[in-house]
Amino acid sequence: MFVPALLGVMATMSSCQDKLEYNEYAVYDRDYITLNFGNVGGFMTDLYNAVDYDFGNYSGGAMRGSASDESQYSRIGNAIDAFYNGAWSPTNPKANEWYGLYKSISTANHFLDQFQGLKFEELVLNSDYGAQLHRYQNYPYEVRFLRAYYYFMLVRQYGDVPLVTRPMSGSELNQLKRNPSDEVFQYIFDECDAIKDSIIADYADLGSFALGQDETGRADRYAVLALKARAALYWASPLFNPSGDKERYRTAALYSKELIDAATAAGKGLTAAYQNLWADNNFSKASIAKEILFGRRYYKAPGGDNLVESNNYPVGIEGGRGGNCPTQNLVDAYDMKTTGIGIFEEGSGYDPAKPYTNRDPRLALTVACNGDKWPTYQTDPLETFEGGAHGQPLAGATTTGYYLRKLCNGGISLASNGRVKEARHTWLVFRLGEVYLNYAEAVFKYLGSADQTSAEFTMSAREAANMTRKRAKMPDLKGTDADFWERLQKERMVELAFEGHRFWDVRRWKEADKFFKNIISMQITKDPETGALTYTRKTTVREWNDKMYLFPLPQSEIAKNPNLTQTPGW
Amino acid sequence: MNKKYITVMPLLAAMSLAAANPADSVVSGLSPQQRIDIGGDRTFDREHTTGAVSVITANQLNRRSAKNIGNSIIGEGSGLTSLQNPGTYASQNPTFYVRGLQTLNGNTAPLCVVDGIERDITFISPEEVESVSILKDAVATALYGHKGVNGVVLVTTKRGKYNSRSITFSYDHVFNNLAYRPKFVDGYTYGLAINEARANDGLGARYNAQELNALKTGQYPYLYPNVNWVDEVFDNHGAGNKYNVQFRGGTERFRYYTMLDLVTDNGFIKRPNQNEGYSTQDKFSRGNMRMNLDIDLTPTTLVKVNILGSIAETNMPGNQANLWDMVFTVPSAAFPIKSETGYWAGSNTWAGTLNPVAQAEGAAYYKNHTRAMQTDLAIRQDLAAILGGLSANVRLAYDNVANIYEDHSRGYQYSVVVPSWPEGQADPKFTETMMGSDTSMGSGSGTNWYNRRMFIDAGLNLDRKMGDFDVYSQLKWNYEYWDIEGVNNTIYRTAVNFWAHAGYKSRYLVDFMLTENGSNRLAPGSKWTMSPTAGLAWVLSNESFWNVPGCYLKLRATAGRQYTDNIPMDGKNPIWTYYAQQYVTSGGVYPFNSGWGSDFGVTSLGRMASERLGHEYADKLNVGIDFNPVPGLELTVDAYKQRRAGIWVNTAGKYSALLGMDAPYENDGIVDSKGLEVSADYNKTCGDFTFSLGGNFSYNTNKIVCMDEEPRQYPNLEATGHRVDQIFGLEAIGFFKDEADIEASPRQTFSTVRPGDIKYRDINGDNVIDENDRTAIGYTTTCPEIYYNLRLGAEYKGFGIYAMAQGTGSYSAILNTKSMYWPLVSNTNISQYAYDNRWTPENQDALFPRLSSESNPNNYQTSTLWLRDRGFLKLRNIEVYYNVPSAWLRSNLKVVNNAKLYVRGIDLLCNGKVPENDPEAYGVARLNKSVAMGLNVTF
Repeated sequence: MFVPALLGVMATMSSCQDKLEYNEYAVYDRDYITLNFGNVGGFMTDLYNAVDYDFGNYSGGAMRGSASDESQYSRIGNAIDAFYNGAWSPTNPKANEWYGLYKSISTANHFLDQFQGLKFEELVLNSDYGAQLHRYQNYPYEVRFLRAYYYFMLVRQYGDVPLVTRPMSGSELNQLKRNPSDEVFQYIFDECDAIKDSIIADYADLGSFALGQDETGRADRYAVLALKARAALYWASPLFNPSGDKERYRTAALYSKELIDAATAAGKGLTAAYQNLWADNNFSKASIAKEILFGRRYYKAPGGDNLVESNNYPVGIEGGRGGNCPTQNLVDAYDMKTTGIGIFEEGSGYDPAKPYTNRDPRLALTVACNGDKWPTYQTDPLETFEGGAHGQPLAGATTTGYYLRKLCNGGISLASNGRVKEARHTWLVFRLGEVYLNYAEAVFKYLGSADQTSAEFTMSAREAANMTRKRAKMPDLKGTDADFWERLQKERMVELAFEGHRFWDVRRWKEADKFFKNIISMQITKDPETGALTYTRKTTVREWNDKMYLFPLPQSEIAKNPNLTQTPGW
Repeated sequence: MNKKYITVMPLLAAMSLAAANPADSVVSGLSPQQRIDIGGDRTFDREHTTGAVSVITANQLNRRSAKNIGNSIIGEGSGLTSLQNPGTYASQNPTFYVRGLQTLNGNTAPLCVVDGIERDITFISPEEVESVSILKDAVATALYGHKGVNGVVLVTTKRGKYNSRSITFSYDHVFNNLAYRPKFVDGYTYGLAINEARANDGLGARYNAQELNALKTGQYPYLYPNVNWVDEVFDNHGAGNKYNVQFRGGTERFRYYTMLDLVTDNGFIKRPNQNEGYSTQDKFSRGNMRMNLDIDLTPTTLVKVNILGSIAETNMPGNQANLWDMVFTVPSAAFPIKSETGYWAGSNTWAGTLNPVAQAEGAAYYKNHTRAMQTDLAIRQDLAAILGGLSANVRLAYDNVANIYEDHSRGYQYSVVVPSWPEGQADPKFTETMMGSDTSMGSGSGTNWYNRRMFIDAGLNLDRKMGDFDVYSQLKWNYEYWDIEGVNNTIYRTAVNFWAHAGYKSRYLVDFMLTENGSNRLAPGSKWTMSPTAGLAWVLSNESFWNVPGCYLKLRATAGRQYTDNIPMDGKNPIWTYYAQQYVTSGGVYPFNSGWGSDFGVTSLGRMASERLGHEYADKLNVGIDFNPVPGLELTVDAYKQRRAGIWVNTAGKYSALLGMDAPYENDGIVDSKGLEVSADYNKTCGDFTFSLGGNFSYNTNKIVCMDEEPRQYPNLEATGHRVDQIFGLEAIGFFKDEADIEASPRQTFSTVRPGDIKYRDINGDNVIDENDRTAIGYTTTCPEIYYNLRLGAEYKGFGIYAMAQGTGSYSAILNTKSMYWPLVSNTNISQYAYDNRWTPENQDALFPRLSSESNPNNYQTSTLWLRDRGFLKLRNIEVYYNVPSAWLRSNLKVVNNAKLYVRGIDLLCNGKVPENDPEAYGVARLNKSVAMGLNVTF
């Protein structure tokens, strides 16, 4: 005992002991981060950048829509193929979201635990202190919105997921079970209700707290209400509502109505022209921005980017790679303009020899067809027929007969001598057009009728569904209660094409058997003599298994945490 | 500068007188009288120690005419694994391991100590060294605290002697030869090979028939060249000189040892003098001066002063060009040395900057200077006046080393000639483009690196005999400051250690150590550790019941826990801030505002803080026997076990992705190692004939018990349970015969396979060959598990021979050297060996797969096809010498007391299984075989 004690005493007495505290590193710890508003604000950059967008995220260009019946990716061997060729498995789990979202959730939890309630007292004499503090004090609400949104992305993809709402140690996390999806949805509703009245409603109207340029990119009250409304619709849908509880549709309809009423009262509404929704000024021009409840701004450079264009411009155009080609399934969903009914319905007026004339105007805005001038600076029409300037057998040319037009800014030229090479793009996360369709779906499913109204729901499903058709200058939805559901599904597919909905909508409806198995493409041949075009439909069959309604967890995650159960069927 | 030294040294040598020991071939490191130093202020006879220590004695440690002590002891000693490293003369230094790879993260190097202080031993010449000890077990390494956990290589330099004087002069001339000179194919064969490779890949021919013919005939040497780059750049011979003079002696109160040493070496570059005024040779020269003084200041006060100054200069071709890498890259047919127009040549594929001759001769030169100073001063005061046996010590050391460069490189303009000779045309056409530019010689200079170390220690010793008991005890404090240029590498360490040693009638011996170590590397709150160690020994042959005269037997056992201050490693970077949650800030943007911009960048979560701030430690157990059954025969056996635990490992494999940030490091790693060391010496003298035989064998193996590896889907992928650095690869089961064979086999996913490609076993049985089919193959390429040497010496009337061979086993090589084994792909060359052993439809039983032209991920994977046994047996040293009889010298030369003439062979023979190369150097860099002639004269 004596010797250890003596050694201890000698060691402590040693005058050089303070040298043991010496280090030369910069510690980027909490103290460093809390030095100023910007370092703390940096977390917001990180968290907003985690919000999804899909300008072609799979191995260099495929959009998730190409794993649905919206489109088909034109190049073989893309990672998107795994969704329908049998390669999808717990060892090939397509789990970027699993890793990315839990990383962001962890950041959000950490922020709320460690970086709330700071006073930045050293900066109190700065002239902008009040405005900076005001902005900072709104962060926790934005973080909670984003975290709830991350959970929405997780629940729609995995169903039951572990609900982590505070910082936890590795060993605690390794014990977690998957919380039932009902709990996750309830968490999202509760969070949205808790913050909806506290979060800033209008970042362009901060009065004395305004800071330079208005930060209109932040999530506001309408983003919160929109999340709640959409989450409620998913919660009510068959995939998450196996017992078919109708009250959930009532909740969904109420949440949508709450949002529509609030948005309308605040002067928001549908913008006049459909194609402006993805225009480069959609984030700033008031007449467009009034429809967009929350947009995910994609940033590459101050002048913008050309990500979606370079991923999807036709082969044969300089810089074009083909990419996500709309299917015939999508093209068929567009009604006839004059009659307002589907092309296969009697008396629709559809002419198979002139398949693209007199169609819903949104077709021409969404899909680039043979003969269109696309991109807009092109003077020669598109030739997507076999042997055409933009058709097979060119490598990567469209396999469906169409190229994607929606989301793309046709003014951008990828040519080396192009004038405009970049523009700003804002991905539409929530917009009012979608909310009307959500409302229509919920009310129809709740009341069981397209036209019935109630004291609660003074707008009928049909009235709501007609909002976006009216904007497109299309006749109102026709038909009876019996076929209204199919018509509403079609309207939703058309209006929200390539906005990241179809992949999930068909899943939550559990109607993949009907929609995802047969992918139709249009083979166009041109008679070399007469120049006449022949249109032939070709069906390719994709693999579908009901387990694919929800994603598998990565194998390694299950190996690390025995309490995590694999998604059923995988 | 060289000339000056050459004339000064013999002059100094000529001014001298006195006596010394004759060199001989007898080695006696195992004898009970061998002094053992484990870092205290006192040495003990081997008989009176409990630890496991092997000693490389003076007779063994200078048999290689090497530039420094590290290279000089390669293969020697018991329990020291020294692996030779290839490269230029200046860069060659061995890698040491004591008891194998004991831990993860590559923190495996033993501590190197010179005269009690951690020092770089590359500055120490063999001549100034008295002995090298290898400290292996817990007792032997305990006093080195945090630093000693991987074993210690302890170098002790020579000191003066009372009332004597001697001057020794030695000169060695060394002829260096390349151990293996690589053979690459000629231009024509290269043409055939690349055509074949392209055909194999479904591509058109690179050379048409008339172009091939031109390569063969040399008709158009500037368009279709055939250059043997190895022969154009490198000579077969290099040469070096070593001059050394030592003054050793003393008076009644003063002892001195002084040495001057000069090493020069000229490399293999064939034509280094193409430029007026300077050479582009790979040259090395180093001058050392040492002065070790022992001054008896008063009858009770001893002052020791040790000073080493070392200045080294390395000269190399401009741009520090790696010439061997270039000749391993550029084929014979790539371009001529110079174009017809007289410029250095290059091509579109291989730029003129890859022209090895141009770099060797036309890019001027680059120099490095390394300047080192190692100094210490110690005072020892006898305090017997206060208490019998009591003394006090204090010591201060200050070392400094810096490396300075002088860059006189120049650029050169080169010509790119692109020939074209379509089939059927009479003569080739060509275009010539000039690229690069001639620049004047650079004049840049600056410091590459430097570091300095301060070390202080002070202590009290009690050394007395009490009846039948011998007691030695010390209490010591030390403090170290080591400052390396750059950040995150300055180290402060301090320690207090206590050592008690007791012996009873020289029969029972006990050692007990307790060390308290602090280090600034460790996290706040965990900076201190306490390590206990104990050792026991029983000398049976000193018991009264023992009645076998001349037979000596001792049993030993030691055990202890030793902590280290290793901290988490992210690859090669230590993570000093592992104890704090980290944040990362960068310049990313989310365009929040209406101007598509933002007021701030990104802040994100960095690595999670480690929660349990533990330490890496070793629990060591060693048992040993020293047994000398008859006079002249000495045997030692040591067996050990070690558990290294608390190793910092990244827990990314342990925690679920829900963690959401870089996983923290935790003290979870465990590696178990065990091994055996056997040594034997036999010395016999019959009249004028002296004979000596000896050998050492060591076996070290280990197993990873825990490394927080991620749960693997297939057991074959698990590294846990295997040795540290175990090779993982695919199991090759031959080559695909034809397309039908490919069709019938599991799909190989690395790249599209063709006949002649390697076929792999589907280890996990999933019918697909991919990363999941990797499994443990061979051993490691890092450290052999078996290391042994055999020694033979004989002397008759002054004529003598000494030979030492050293071998390794359980050691693997992966033949992945470009051009040599992996030809053509990524624009490389092809060796004759690779060409002769390639697969062709006619040569299905080939060693190597078909040729590929650009890349072939399927074939160039780590697999058993490329795995070779790296075990070897090398004749490390053989020396034939003659000691001129002293009587003759005294009567004829008066002043000369001893003279020895010798011829040495260094690494002359090697029996290994790595084809076409030395097993220790199968990459691009080369090793030498050398012959040295020398003489050693003592006045």
